Amino acid sequence: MTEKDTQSDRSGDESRMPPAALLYAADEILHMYDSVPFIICLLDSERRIISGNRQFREVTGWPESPVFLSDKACGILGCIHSLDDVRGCGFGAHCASCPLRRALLDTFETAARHSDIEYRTSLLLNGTRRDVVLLGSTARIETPGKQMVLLSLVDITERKLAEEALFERERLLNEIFEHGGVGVAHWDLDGRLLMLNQKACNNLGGGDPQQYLGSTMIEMFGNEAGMSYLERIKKTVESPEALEFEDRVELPIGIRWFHSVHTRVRDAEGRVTGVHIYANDITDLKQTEESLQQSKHMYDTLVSKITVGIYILRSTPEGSYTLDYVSPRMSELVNCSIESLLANPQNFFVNFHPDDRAGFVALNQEGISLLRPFDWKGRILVDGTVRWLHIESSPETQMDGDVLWHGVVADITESKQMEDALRVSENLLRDAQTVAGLGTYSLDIATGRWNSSDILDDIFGFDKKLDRSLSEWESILHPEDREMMTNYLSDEVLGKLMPFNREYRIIREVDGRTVWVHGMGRLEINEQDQPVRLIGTIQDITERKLVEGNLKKRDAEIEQFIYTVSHDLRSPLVTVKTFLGYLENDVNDGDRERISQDLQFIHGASDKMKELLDELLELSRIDRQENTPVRVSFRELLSEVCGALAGDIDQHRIDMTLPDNDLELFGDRARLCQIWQNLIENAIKYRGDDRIPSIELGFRHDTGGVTFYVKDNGIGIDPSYHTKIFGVFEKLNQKSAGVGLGLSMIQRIVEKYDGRIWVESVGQGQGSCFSFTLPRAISHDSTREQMPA
Amino acid sequence: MNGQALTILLVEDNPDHAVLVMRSLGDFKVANRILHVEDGQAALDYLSGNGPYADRMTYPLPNLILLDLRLPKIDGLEVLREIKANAGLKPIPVVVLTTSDAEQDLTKAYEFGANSFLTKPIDFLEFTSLMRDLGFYWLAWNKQPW
Repeated sequence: MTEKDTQSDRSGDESRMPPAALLYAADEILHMYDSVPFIICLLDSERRIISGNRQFREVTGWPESPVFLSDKACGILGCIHSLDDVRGCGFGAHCASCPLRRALLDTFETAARHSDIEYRTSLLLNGTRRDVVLLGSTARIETPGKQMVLLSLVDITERKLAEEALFERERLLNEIFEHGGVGVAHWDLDGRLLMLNQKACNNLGGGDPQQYLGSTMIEMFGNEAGMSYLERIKKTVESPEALEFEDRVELPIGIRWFHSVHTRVRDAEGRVTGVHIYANDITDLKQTEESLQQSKHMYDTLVSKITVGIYILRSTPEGSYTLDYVSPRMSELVNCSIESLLANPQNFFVNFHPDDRAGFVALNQEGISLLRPFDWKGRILVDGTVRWLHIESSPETQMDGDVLWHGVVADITESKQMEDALRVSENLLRDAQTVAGLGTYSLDIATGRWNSSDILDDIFGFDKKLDRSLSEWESILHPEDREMMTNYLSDEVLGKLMPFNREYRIIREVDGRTVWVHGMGRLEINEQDQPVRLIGTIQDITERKLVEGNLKKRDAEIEQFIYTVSHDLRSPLVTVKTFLGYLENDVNDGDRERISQDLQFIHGASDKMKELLDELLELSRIDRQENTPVRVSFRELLSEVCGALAGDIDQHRIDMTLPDNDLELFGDRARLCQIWQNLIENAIKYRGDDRIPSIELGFRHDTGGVTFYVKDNGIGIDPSYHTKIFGVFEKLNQKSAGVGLGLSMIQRIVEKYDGRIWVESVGQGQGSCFSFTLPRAISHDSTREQMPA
Repeated sequence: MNGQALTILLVEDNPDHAVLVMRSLGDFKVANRILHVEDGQAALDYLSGNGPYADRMTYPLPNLILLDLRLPKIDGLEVLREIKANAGLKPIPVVVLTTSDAEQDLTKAYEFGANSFLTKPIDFLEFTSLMRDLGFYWLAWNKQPW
């Protein structure tokens, strides 16, 4: 035992040494403890170290280093009293307060034979100073006449650290348990609540957690819910994994939603003893989620209900693009599934009509590169039928440079079809209006503004424009109709709310032409019985009015004709009948002279009647019979007439003047001849006796066209008779030959060629000049005068 | 009936009818003189004493005018209108004696102041009795202001 030897060698003070036997015994005992991991030493009653195990020797350097224990200081563990000495117990100058020293002294001096202390200090172990926690135990060993104290020191630093860590963890757990925001409840296998934290208590309705302890699930949640929760506990017990649930729970505080995690609780032996339920009140979340769900549902419903498809297309600055969103309706419209559209945006237009696809792609690219809103109408083929789509989208540039195109796709097939049908019917209407010369207008009563259709502009001779004022209408009214029409509009139509229905004249500003129109219109009346709009039509009825006018004239002529004829045919009848009566008397009287006179009158009247009837027949032929029109030279016509009248002309030595220039006429040759023939006959018949009769034939170009004339130097006609002479059976001289139908006939023929005839004569003995026009006999290409050869 | 010579002015363009009227009236000897003109202008000239009719001894103002309506130059209605528009001529009864029975003539004639309107009958007996009655009525029974 080297330690014992060494110790013996170094113990210079024999009197303080313990008895050898004791020492030996102590040594023996302590040696036994060399291998234990704590420090043990033995002090004698003199408070001297008499023995120590290996750990003690290592820590203190005993027996080489002095170890002492006194009232003032304790050197047992090499306590340091100066900072220069690195060894020491760590109490330094405060050695007096060293708990180990106190404990040792107490053990020596008091009745207590044993004490345990735990204290912190610093130790140099294996050359390294470290903070340690030591557990010191002292035990006073009483032997007869002797007492010793056994000191053992155990380094409990590790244990202490572990304890502290455990404590901290427990504290944290507790913190979490109480304040973690999760309700924690511990249930036993029968569904009885053993423990719950504040949060769980709050979940259940608040108050003191204690009140819930010991309650069963059925007591707390009712039979039905309680049973189902019990069922869960059983499941949890069997499940190695935690189970999650979401519940709608009816509590006295109202309906709450909880998310809960169930875990089984096992004891040290692994037996399941209960279940932990961690519950989170997710009512708010649930409500938010529910309203979110609701609005999402509404949005989905909306998107699925609306007839247009919706998409979001993302284009990048690099030029690539993808579809971010496609609504179901959009997928339907472009006849391509949502998945394939999202996978490949090219599928967007895969079904487009081949004729329209390229245009769409080009427009799309242009839109993307110029960031211009996109608007396209085109066709798509869906199961072989053509549908029309209208696609619109507008760009929205994102922070990252991408552009989102919010697009809308609409099926416009029906509106397109209607549009087409409308266009067709509009065209029809326009054509019909054009053909009928029917213009339309719409007048806003309040403003007096109106608009006119193209055809109405044509009728009124207006420039094309949309907006007009009422004064524009008033200004073109014929002066004779203006007052009547403005009064009619204001008093009758607007005043009495009557439909507009009037025929009136306008004078076109553009060419000064007078046009007859028939205006019709319907008033639109509001709830207050106030006229709002006048919508109507204007028809050009000039032609009709002309015909009407001609018809009236014709009617008058016919009436006059019948009157004249009945009078003039009746006259000879009166003569015949009356003289027949006289004849009878005269025969009875045997008055031969009067008989012959009577018969003469009767013959004369009968001849007159025949003549009248023949002439009337001739006149009626003008209207009834017409030969095929032919082209004939004017001079040729005249020479034919003169040939027929050659006898009379020669007999009366008429000086005939024929025109130098020629003209081509187109018409019924015989009738045209009749004009000149009758006029020349008249000129011969009414020649003057006191001069050489002359007749001049010719034509001249007037503003109205070609005017023909037959001029004589005969007896002339008093200006007051210039109209009367053209009447049926009119004769200025009762004794002259004929029945008075010649000029009537000429007039009829002239009128058939849309011409007119008139006479110029200063009066008796001044000669006459009959002039007339024949517009329809003058062909357009013949108006150019042909010069004589 | 007074002793004054009674004169009738016949305005008639149809010579046959003129003969008929004169013969019928002559047969009943109701008038001393029947003067005949053939057209409206001549009638107005006669009544105004113009031109050839200036001598009132030969061409006195008539007691009755028999007026045909269809006349050359100036027609009967116009002649009537002018007679009745002339204060001196207005009192002379004008009997329209016409072939036609047209409504328009009848209306116009009375409008212009005709005193009577007669249509020449086609029947001989009717014609002659009309002429007789006409003559007696206007020249014998009818009272005149002069």
